[in-house]
Amino acid sequence: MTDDIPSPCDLLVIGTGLTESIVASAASRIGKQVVHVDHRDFYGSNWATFSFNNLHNVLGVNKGLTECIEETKKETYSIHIGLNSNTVLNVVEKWFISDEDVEATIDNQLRIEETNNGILKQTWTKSEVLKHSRKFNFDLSPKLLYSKGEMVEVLISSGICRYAEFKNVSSIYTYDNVESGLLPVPCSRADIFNSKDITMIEKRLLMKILSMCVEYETKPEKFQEDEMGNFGNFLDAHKIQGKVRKYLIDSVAMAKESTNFQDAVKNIQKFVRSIGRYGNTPFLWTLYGSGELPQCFCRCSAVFGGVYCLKRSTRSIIIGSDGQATGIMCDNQNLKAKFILIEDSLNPLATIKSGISRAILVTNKALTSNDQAVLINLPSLNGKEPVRILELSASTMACPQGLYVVHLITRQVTTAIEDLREVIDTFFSAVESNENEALHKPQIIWSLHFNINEYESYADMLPLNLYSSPGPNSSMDFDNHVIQARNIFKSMFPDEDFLPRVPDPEDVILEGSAEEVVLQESLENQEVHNVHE
Amino acid sequence: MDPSVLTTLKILITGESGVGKSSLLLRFTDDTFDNEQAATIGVDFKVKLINIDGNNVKLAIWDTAGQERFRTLTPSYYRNAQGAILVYDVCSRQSFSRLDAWFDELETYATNTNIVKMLIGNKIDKERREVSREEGLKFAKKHSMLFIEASAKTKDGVQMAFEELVQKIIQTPGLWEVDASSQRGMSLSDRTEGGQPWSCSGYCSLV
Repeated sequence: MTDDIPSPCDLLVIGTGLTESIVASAASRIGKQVVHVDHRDFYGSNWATFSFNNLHNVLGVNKGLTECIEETKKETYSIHIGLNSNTVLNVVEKWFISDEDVEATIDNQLRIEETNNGILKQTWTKSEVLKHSRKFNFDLSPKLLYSKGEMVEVLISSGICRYAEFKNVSSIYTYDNVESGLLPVPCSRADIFNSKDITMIEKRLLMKILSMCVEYETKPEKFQEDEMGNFGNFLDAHKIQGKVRKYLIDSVAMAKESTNFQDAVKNIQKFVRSIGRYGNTPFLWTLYGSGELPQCFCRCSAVFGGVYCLKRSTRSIIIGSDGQATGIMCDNQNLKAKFILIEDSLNPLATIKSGISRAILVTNKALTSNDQAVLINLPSLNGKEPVRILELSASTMACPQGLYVVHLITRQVTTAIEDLREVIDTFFSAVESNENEALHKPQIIWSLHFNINEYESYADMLPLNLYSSPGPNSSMDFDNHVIQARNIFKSMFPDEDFLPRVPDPEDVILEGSAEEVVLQESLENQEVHNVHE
Repeated sequence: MDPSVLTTLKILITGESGVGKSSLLLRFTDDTFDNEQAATIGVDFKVKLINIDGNNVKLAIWDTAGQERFRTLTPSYYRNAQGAILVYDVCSRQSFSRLDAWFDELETYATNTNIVKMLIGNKIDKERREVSREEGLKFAKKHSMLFIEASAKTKDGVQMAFEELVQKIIQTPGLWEVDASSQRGMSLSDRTEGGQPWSCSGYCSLV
């Protein structure tokens, strides 16, 4: 089978994370021969989504890989690809329920007990949860899409949106440290108008700030010079205090007091413009998890001739005598390529920049009454980094009915366990805790803590035709990665369109075959390319 | 959706490389056959309207896009399919023995638990058959699949295969009705923008 991998190719991509997959699809789309390999046996690298069983396999696999030393030909040298680099580390898994098997339980039947106050309570055992392994979709890097953000735009303009489905995030909360409770963030105009948390004057102030920011470019005269230092100064200048300030900082601008004013305004604009496109909040969640998105782009690449090989150990990048990368050693085959793109976490020349602290919980109850996907932005408390919580119900395909998957995300300071301990203790309880408390807080059934490294690489250290692409970061959305993928593509193929729309199969119903059109198109592109050479 | 169309079904085709998946698809949707057909490029899915028992049903039939070449289909390929066709080549023992692996993958990733499965033994026009009809039937029975032998080249069995599959899907309660699909998410497209964008004029009127 190895012999079938085309060599040489135009672009060789190592790693099936989001950025790599976007670039692969864009190159295939314009008729370039793309070979996309990954040493893992799943798509998505550190963006992947796993079932219970797969998660266990993967966390085991991550530890077992060893590096191989390759002999290389004269006049070339090679850089070893660090397959054994542990990008996901400090993994701690914990069960909070008993292991015992309940006799005579059929697959979907749960033991239902009536508690004192008459609430129906479902009791799960470990084996029951594991029986539903495939119904769980755990994201390594859960992220949301702004309804009018870069990701949604590229999905629509390219037509790749046909491969995925989405749910609107149903509500957004921040934390009110005065009243020690979750505070719903009003998103739509109606929400603000109907909010019982803020006064009429506060509503007007909130509206005024939002519309000022939306019109920042068109009506700059409304802003005073001195307001535009950091976001806190701006809010001070407009006497924004209390809850409105919390809404704006924690949830609308996704910022801190010290955030640069321009950055905060950009986020506010994106937030406001995204409202109402698909629902009441600006955000979308990908059904079956964020790991679907790299797969969508890979599928598009494959449709246009991209060759996909997982479980291919990519051992080294070969550098020619002119200092350019000529190809890679993939198993025992020398794959040649004009351009190579490698994900940061595999790039031996990339260094660890920082990290993300993550926890995934399975709980038995929603934090709020809401039942779809809920975003909670916790401000920095006691000098800690802000924490983002995403609570997903069964309707997002994250878990079976009656359970919830909760993602916690923050910048890494120490370890995931330490960084998130306080937040988890505040909102959740372990099953063992006393009954009164347990009835109010969602109980944790299972938890997983881990850290993911963030890497950075300096382009000037790499051969000109070798590109390194960023893995997941702690930001909430994908937009930065879409932009970087586009930049990488534009740098490789400066005169080409980035992901032009694919012909819609629905439009060619009962007519000539769609692939003829497509093939002609890619042939034309090929010719254009050859002329350039 | 066109009111005369009862439902849209997602059907997918899997199986080893070279067993004729795309040929079956193109024979059914376009009634064409290319003896020299190269590995699949550019075929995402094909749409065809068929009439089953007086109902118009729109089929979106998905091809593997060649991703099966190195056995690396994306799990997302299997999402929300109501029907799946496993194909082997009756003249290739190897393609038949790989069916177990393809079946397992289908079982792992299909999200509809009652997805209707069909086994097609293709290329019956060719000589030197390596897999008997009985063997194919046995495999299909073991896994509760529909079974048919066909030839994309001579058209034998192709139309009937798809019709039977669709008929079985329509007869399966809870698999295709609107109720079942409304549980799912929404699709993005510039045509489906809902709600009122929160334009600036909205704010300003309140200030």
